[in-house]
Amino acid sequence: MRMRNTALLTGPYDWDAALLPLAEFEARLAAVRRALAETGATALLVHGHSMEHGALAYVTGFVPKLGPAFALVQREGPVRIFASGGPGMMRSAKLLTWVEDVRPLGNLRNTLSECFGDMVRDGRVALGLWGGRTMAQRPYVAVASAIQSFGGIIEIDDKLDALRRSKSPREMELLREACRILSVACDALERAIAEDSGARSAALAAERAAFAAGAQDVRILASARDGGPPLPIDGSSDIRVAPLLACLAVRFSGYWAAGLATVSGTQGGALARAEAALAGMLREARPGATSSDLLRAEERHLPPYKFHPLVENAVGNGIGLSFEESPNLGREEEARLEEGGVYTLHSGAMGKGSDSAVVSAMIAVSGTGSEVLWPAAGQPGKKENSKGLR
Amino acid sequence: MDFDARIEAMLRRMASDEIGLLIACSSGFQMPDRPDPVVHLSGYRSLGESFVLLRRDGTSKLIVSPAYDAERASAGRSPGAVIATNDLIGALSRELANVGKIPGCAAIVGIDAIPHFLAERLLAISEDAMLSFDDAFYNANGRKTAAEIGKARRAAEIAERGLERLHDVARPGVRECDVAVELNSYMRSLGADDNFLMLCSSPHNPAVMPSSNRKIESGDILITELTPSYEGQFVQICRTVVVGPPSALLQEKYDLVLRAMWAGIETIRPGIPMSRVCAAIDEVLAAAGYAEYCRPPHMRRRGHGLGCGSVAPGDVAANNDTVLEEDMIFVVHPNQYLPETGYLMCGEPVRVTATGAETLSARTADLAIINT
Repeated sequence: MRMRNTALLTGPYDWDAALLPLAEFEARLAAVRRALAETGATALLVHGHSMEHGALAYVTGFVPKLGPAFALVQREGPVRIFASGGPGMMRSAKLLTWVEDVRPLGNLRNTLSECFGDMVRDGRVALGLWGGRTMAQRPYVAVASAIQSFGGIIEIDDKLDALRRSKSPREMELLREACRILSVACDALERAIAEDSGARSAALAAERAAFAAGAQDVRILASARDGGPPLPIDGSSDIRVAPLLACLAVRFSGYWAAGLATVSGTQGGALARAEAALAGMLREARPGATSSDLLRAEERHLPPYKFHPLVENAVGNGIGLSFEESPNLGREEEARLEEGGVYTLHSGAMGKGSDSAVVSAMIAVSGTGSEVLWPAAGQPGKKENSKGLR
Repeated sequence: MDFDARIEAMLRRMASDEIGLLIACSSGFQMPDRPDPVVHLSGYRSLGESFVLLRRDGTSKLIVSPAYDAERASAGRSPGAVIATNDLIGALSRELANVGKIPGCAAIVGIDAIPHFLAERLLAISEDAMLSFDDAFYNANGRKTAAEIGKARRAAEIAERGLERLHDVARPGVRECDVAVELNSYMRSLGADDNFLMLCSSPHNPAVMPSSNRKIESGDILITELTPSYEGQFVQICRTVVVGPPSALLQEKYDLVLRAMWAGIETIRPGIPMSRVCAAIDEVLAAAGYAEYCRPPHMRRRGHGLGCGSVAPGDVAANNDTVLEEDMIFVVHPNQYLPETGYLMCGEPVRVTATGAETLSARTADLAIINT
């Protein structure tokens, strides 16, 4: 699912060791280095930009606010971060991470050439690249050009993304807190709609409530017409919408919680079908369950309604430091739920006229089944996530 | 100028450069100082990646992702048909196959900003396309339309209201990031759909930075650039606010930076190169003994164009010889580091008029004070 990107992230992003201790990063770095050795890579370049920086945040905690940023990880020795912005801006950049060596990116090709030139003394550089899939063409060309004289690139997204899939106990705490904030936002949205607010006002009320509850970032899409798909809140139109379909995402200490909700004074046919389909999927959610298992569970409940276009490609995806992370539970794929993973599962039904609905749940998959972390409207246990982390 | 005139100017430029088909690319990530050719040609701000195909005969297609954004894309200004899809390259391949023989060559603009994997696939299906048309694309017509100018005026009003709000909420003990979040939320409530909002504070700022968790303290100099977008048009104002009474030295230095800004703004008129605006600002600061601070690493530019479509006329910089035209919009901001005070900010969005410049902000910069 795509949300509207923001030009600059403004929330509280400084690294907070009380929430994510250094030991957590040390364990991650050790795992990354083990995986690196298995691939034959001599060094790792981790990329992130303000829209997508899950891999970079996993290793360093760093959130690039101004443009692309890279972490250079060798098999031994300190990690270096190269961040967009001038030398005078590194003071605030350093606050975002446990990594001590944060430098201006400058000319990416020249900066990296210098680093690779130092490394090549130990032999040809096999540069693992993580987060390269989302890198824009210009920096990718610069990286490729920089490495050309010293070695080559090995793209190792799949191997390293797998490290992020199983959440640590600390990560689970942060995800639970993100889910609590998501509930606060969702409640504010429902309350505003119940008080006859327009879609725009309701979305803004939800956004404010989430920030007040401790969110770093909030993204909301909402219907612009009765039963319309969730879309960015552009322009000043603020009409009442029923049903209102919304996609809400909040972030706490780097971790996203996201949910689909349908707010309606009445229980339309589409909402009943979508909720039944989601409940069916939740019953199937256990380690080893495949996308097609979940899809079959969903399909049993939807007819005669059609899949909502918002969810027609996938039944869900992993979630954590990225809004959408692996695995993508695509309808055409055979991705599996794994023990220790956190996922969003979603369903949506579209009938005639404005009779549309989208719903979702966030789950943590355990040894024998799954725990619902965030229930969508109408799902059991909705009010249970009310205790804050701090 | 209206939107149709922009498209006509683009078609004339395509004809003169013997381009039969233009492929404009967007990453879906819009910034105030970076161009987005899809927005420029269609007015549509995509959620995901998107393309506009514009043929020399004027027919066009807007291809957007994700598929569920179809309604919003269709409601935009795109002069041609709209395809909303989750398979961009598939849709693009089919459309390019349908285009058939074109007069002249194809050109791609904006490819540097889209994801590498998508760019490589685009290059694979349009292997002979020209990749050096970006500058010509924006030079074909860098003026804002009447509608964009209207949006810029509204965005400037929102920025100024945001500044008023800053005076309500910024005080010792409050975190920079909480002020920034509040200003963002407030400006969104006024109609802003995005904001590039830099805000930081310190007794001596080395540069303007994104907000941190630092708490504002008495004696700080708070610097900010408020950059709301209204219906896709960004505008920026830059301001300096002192927390507590300002020293005479700070006031003196701020007045210097303000004089430099006005020297730049008063230079603006159609027909001059942008570099002259930069030179006018630099001259004031150099005359006061700060010539070395008018060069990198202290200074890169004195302002910039404002997107998110075209950002013509580009940076207010010594090496930018873009000739100013009526109805171009950009921000003039000296934003100078001075060793005695640190980084000081003042900046106004301006529209080039027939005879000079109009500042879009109603109340221009001064050294503001938060009483503690």
